[in-house]
Amino acid sequence: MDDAGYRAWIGLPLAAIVAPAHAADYMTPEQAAALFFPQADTQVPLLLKLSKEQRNAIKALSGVRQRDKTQSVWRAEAGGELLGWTVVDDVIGKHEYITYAAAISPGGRVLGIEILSYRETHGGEIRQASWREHFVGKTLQNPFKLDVDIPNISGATLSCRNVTDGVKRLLALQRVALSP
Amino acid sequence: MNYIRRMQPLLGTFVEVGVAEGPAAGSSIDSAFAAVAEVHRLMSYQDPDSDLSRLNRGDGRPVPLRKLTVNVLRLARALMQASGGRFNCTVGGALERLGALPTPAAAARLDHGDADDIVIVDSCRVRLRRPVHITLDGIAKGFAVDRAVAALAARGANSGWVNAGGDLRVFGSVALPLSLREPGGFRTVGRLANRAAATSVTSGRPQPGFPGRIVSTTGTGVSRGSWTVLARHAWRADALTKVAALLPDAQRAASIRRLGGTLLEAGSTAQ
Repeated sequence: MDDAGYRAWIGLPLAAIVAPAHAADYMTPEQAAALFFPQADTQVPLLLKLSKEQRNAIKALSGVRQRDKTQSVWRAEAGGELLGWTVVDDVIGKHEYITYAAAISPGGRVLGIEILSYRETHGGEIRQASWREHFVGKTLQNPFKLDVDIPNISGATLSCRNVTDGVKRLLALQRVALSP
Repeated sequence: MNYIRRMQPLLGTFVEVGVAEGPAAGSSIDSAFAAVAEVHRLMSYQDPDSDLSRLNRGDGRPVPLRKLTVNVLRLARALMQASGGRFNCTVGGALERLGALPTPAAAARLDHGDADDIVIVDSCRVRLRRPVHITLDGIAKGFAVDRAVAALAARGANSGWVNAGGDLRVFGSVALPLSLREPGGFRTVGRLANRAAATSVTSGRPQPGFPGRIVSTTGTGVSRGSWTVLARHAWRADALTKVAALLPDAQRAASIRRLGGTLLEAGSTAQ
C-alpha cells in the first residue's frame, strides 16, 4: 500500500453531543472529601497558605507554576490518624472552566479525581482525546508528561492537559506543604 | 425523578455518569467508572502492558487476552467484514507513520490489514495473521460506555446514562435532550431514550495539537463533516461514525442503516 492511498484527514471526536447542558455542578468539595475517604470520622477544612519559597518549590518539582497563593484542602482523619487530603483546584482551558478535586494519600499517591463543576466558557468546539491514562496511583516519581506516560493517542485537549498539569502540581504541593 | 451525576477524567475525556437517585446510586456509579477504567487499561495503545499492546507484539502467535478484549476484537472484526473494510481497526501502522499514534518498541511492518488478519483462536486467545498493529480507538470508547451501562444495570440502576465525551448511551425511563454542536451554536434534535449516539467530526486539514485521524484504506476519501449515528449500543454508534465519514454521500444513510445504525442528518431529528 503506497502512502498516496491514504487520504489522511483529521478526525475529531468532539463532545458534539451535549446532554443535557454544557454546564454542570456535580458535587461540593465536602461531598468529594466524603466520597474519597468514606472511613474518615473527621474532615478538617484548611486554607493552605503558600509562601513564595513553597510556590517556587512546587514549580521546581512539578514543572507547573503554582499561581494561587492559597489552596483549599480537606484533611481526612480516622481515630486521629491521617488518611489523606482532598485538594480542590481549578483548571481554565481554552473553552472550559473546570473545578475538580483530587484525593492524595499521605504517601503522595493520587487516590481519585472527581470533577466538581464543568463550565464551557464559550461555544467553541471542544476537542476530545480518545484515550488518556487515568491518574489513579500516579506519584511524582512517574514522569507526568502527557506524551510520556499519560497516553495521548489522539492528542490531548487543552483541558485534559490542564487537568494533567493540575494533578501533577497538586502532588508537588502535597510534598512541599502537606507532608506529615 | 432526581438524578445523581458524577464526572471523572477517563479515556482522555470527561466521562459523566447519571443514575436515578436511590440508596445504591453511589456504588453503581463507582462500578460504572471502574468498568470504563478497565476497558482503558486493557485496550490502551500506549500502555505496553495492555492486552492490546501484548497482541500487537505477539509476532503471529496466539496471545492470551481477557475475554472482554476478545469480545471487542470480535465485534470489530465483524464490523470490518460487514462494512467492506470501511471500518478498519488494523490501521495502527499507518497511524504510527502519520504520527497520530506513538510507535511502540517495534513499529508495525504493514500500514494496515483486513478482517482476516484478526484470528480469534478461542474465547481467550487471538493471533494476528500478518504483522499489523490493531488500534481500538474507533470502537473502545463506545464499548466502554456499554460496559458502564451494564455495570449500572447489574447494580440495580433502572434508569440513567453514560456520556464519554460525546459517546452517549441512555437507558431506562429517562429521555435526555440531545443537542448537536454545530457552527454557530447548539441545535436540539430531540430526546434520546434507550439508545446510544456518537459523533465524529472530520475536517480537511491537520489540527495542531490534535493528531487524531481517520484514514481510508478502501481508496475512497474521507468526507468532511459532522457524523452523528444512533444505535442500540454505543460501540456500534461509535464505530459507525467512522464508516459514515468514509461513505459516499449517496450511500451514507442506507449503508449505516444496513449496518444497524441511524444516521442523523442535517436538519433531521432523533425521534
